[in-house]
Amino acid sequence: MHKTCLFPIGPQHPSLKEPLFLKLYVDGTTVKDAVFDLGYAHRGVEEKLEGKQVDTALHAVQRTCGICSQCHTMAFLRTVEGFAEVEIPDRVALQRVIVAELERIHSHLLWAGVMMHELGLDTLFMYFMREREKILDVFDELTGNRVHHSSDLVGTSKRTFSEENLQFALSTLDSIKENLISYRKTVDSHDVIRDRCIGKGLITKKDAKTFGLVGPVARACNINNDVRVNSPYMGYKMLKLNSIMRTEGDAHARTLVRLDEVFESMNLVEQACNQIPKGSVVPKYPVKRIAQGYGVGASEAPRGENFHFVKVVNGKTARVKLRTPTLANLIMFPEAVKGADITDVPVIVMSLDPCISCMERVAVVKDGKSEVWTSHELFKGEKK
Amino acid sequence: MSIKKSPWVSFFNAGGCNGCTLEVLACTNPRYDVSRFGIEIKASAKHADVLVVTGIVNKQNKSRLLNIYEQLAEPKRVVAIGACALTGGIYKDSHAHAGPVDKIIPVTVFVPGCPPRPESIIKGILEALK
Ligand code: SF4
Repeated sequence: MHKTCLFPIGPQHPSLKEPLFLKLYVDGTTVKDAVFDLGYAHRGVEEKLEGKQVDTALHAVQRTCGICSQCHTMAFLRTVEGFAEVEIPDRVALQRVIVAELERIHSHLLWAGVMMHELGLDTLFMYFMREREKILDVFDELTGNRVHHSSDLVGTSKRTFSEENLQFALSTLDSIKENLISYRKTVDSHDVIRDRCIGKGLITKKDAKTFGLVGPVARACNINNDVRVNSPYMGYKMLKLNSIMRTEGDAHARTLVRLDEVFESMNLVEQACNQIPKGSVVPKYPVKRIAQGYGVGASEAPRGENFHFVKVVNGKTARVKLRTPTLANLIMFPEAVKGADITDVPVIVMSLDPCISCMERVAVVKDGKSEVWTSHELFKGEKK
Repeated sequence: MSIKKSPWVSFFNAGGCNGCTLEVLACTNPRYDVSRFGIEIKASAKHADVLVVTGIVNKQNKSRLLNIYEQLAEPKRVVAIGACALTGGIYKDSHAHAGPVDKIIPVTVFVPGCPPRPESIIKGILEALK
C-alpha cells in the first residue's frame, strides 16, 4: 500500500494567472485526490455592490472580472431592465452584443494562447496573443477602453459606434480570420496537442448533467445550455446563431469548441454590424432612476452562464448575487484531475478554463460562532 | 550592485479582477514584446530582480506576499500596478482588504490606472531600475 504525498501548486505560480492553491495528493505520478484551496482572490465583490444606485453599481459590476466585463454588465442590465421594464432601442441592443461577442473572441484567444503555453507550444501562444491584441484595438476604438469597457447605462449606451468604428471592427476581424483558420487546423492536427489532449480530463455527459456544468465545458459533452440560444436577450433576438457542440467531452473537444466559437462570434459581429440601425444613442439625461424591484437574469459569458440576482430597495441595491460560470464548473475540477497523471494536470485544469477572480465568495465568520440564516432572511438580505 | 538593464520579473496577483493581470500578460505579446528590454518573466521570486504586484492584497494573501517579498533577490524592487494595488481602488473599504501594497511591503514604483496600459507598465518596470 503506497502512501500519497502532497504536491502543492500555487498560489503564486507562473502558469496560473490568478492566485489559486492547488493541492494534489499523488501516489507516484498518479493523482489520487485534489483540493482546490480558494480565497486568494476574494475581495468582497457582492458586498461592494450593496447600497449603491444602479448606475454606480454598474461601475463596480464591470470590475468583477477583467476578462468578461461586458458579460457582467449585460447580465446586470438584463436583470434591472427586466424588472424595471425599460425598453432598449435596437441599436443599443446590437451595440452591446458587438462588444460582448468581441469579448468572447478575446477571451477564447487568450485561453487558447495560455492552453498552448501549458502544452509547451510557446510559438502558438505568441500567435494567439498577437491576434488577441488586435481585438483589444477594436475595443479601444469602439468603447475607449481596452479592458473594462464601461460602454453601457440602464436603457442606453454611453456612446454611438460610428460607421468608421464598425468598419474598423469588421476589417480587423477579416484580417485575423485567415490566421485563425490556420491555427485551428494546427491545433486539430498537431501530434503533441492530440497526444496530450485526446481522452484527457474526460467528462461524461451524465456527469456534466448531474453537476450542472455550463458553457463550452458542457457543450463539449453535447449539452446545449447556451443562454444566447435558450433564452435570447438584447441583440441576440435579432441574430442567427449556431451552437457549437461536440460529443467527446475531453480536453481536445473543449479546445475545438472554443476555437469554433471564435468563428461563430465573428459571424455574429458581422451580422450585428450589418443590421445595426442608423441613428444616435446618446443618452437622454437624466437616465431613468430605478427605485424598487428585484429580479434575476442571465447572460452567456465566455465561460458559460453568468447569473445575476438584483434587488433594489429605495433606489439603492440591497443585494446583488452573482453566480459566475466558473463557480458552476468548479465542482468538476477535482473529479476531472483524479486518476490523471500529474503531468497532465495543467492541461486538464486549463481546459476547464478557470476564472477565479469573479468567483471567490466567502462566508465571513467574525467571532468563530456559526450563524443560521433562514431562506427568507437570505432573500431579504438582512437578519432579524 | 544594481543592474541597469534586462531585469527579470516575477509576478504576483494579490487578488485583483484580472484586468491588470491581463495587461501585464499583454506586455509579453509580440506587439509590446518586453524582451526588447531584456525583461523576462520568471516563475520564482528568487530569480527575479523586480516583483510586480497587482490587486488589492486580501487578508489571506498578506502572508504570501510577505513570503514572496522575502524571497526576492536584493536589492528588492517592487512595482505596484493598478488602482487596486495603489489604494484598494473600488474595493477600498471591502472587508477583505488588507493592503494597499505599500502598507505591507516597500514599493519602488506605482503605476496607476484601472488597468494601466501595457506601455505604462513597461515604463514602470524600467523606472524601477533607476
Ligand atoms: S485596478 Fe482595476 S483592472 Fe486592476 S485589478 Fe483593480 S479593478 Fe481590476
